[in-house]
Amino acid sequence: MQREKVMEKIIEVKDITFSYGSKTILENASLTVFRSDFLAVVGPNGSGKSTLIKLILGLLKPQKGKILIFNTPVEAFNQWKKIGYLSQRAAFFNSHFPATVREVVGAQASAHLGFLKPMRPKDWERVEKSLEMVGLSELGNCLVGRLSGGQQQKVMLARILVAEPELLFLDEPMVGLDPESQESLYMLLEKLHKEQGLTIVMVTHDISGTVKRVNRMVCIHQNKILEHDPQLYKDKKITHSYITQLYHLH
Amino acid sequence: MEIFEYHFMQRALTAGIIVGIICPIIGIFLVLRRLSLIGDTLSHISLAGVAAGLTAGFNATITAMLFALGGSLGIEYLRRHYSKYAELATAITMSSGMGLAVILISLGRGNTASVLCYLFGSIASVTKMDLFIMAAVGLIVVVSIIVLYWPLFFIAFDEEGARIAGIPVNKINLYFTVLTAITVAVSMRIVGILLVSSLMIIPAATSMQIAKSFKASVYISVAAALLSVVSGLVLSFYFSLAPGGTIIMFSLFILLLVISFKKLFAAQK
Repeated sequence: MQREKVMEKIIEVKDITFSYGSKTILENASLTVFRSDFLAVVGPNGSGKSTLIKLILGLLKPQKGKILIFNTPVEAFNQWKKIGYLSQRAAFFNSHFPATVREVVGAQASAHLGFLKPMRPKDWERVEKSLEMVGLSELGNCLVGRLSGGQQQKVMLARILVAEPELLFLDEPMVGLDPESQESLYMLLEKLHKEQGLTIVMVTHDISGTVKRVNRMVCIHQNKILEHDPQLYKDKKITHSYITQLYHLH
Repeated sequence: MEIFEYHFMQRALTAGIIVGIICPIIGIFLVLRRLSLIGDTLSHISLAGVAAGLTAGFNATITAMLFALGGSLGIEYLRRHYSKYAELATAITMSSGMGLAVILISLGRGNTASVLCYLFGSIASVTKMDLFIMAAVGLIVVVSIIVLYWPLFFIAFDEEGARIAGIPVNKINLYFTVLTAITVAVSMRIVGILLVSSLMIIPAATSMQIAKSFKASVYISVAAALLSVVSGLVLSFYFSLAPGGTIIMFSLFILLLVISFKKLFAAQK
């Protein structure tokens, strides 16, 4: 309650129910995300983690319940510039696509200018700034397909950052990355969270890697959203195997 | 040069240059979105338009364009109904176009020679009216691609991301299919209905072998197409070859040359 008094709610998921045909994914599930949260969403395969993100982004419609983004119902929300979304598939694009890192980030910058408005020098400066934030300034002219998986994921992140969002949704950003690239990406996310004050919601399987960094953790279990205090894990009051067994995670 | 003394060759070369610019700039987006079959589909629909125009006594380029436009709308309509099987939309439209074309050709029995000109391309048959239509369509296509360059690039790279970024993806897709339709319809005069999609696809495939950026791939594909069209027209003039086939075989020759040089350089490194 104390937290709710001081923190600004930027996402409110209120008693939503969503089914794919006869399969119920979420039932009367609720979640509140506050400004500057670094929130991990965990859960077994098919539990509805990505579905929850798509519902919040308005890509799917719940059969019941309400979703507010920045105090606006998602159906009426139009300030998408405030939100960055890194989809599960983002790094699995056609690697033969002949585009440079700078072009990929530039396209995103152009999209946020408004339809049919040309790119100006200051927009290209924003592109350079976001490449610098993810540590890819030197690789701006490289073909994106030639980069490593970790670097490609950082390009995808740079695309999002170029719009200067307030809230980031990351759907399994570590999938397919080697441990070194994962560590580098985690460090970058921590930096963005702490230094830029970004609110981050991250869907992940990697509990042990995530729990050390996030300040909130929720799990989708039996169609409900349940919350765990990551501090309990950090303080070793609950163990990794406890969580994995409790939620049938693998 | 003798070739430039003939008015019909001047018209054919001018038309060829227009086609050599618009086909690859549409083609590069089609290839990168894995929609290469759309060109073929719209050319089959255009054949029905040509047959309808010849049978009814109208300008066949205009009727082909109208049919191709109808076909493009049909593809978009069907694509929404078969969102998980997008290739069905092109397959159904292609079959419908071919079926309709065969019926219309059989109705206009006396026009077989004219239909052949459209099927395989004919440099002698480009009229002033055709050239005027081509120039207008060329201008529309080039200006549209310049204006929509970033949204089209974004959609080709990541359609879902483009939607989330607020780009009106469905409207742009529809408009782009319309641009493809009118490009196919005007290009068939030179390259022929059966080969027009090749001029969209092969130069794009060539550019993808060597381009170091998306912008470069657009320029390289236009350069490869222009070289193919001009060389193909000149060769077809001097050796009495079918222009469409000569242009496409020349573009294929460039592609093979690029692949060979690339392999040679890779082996030397």
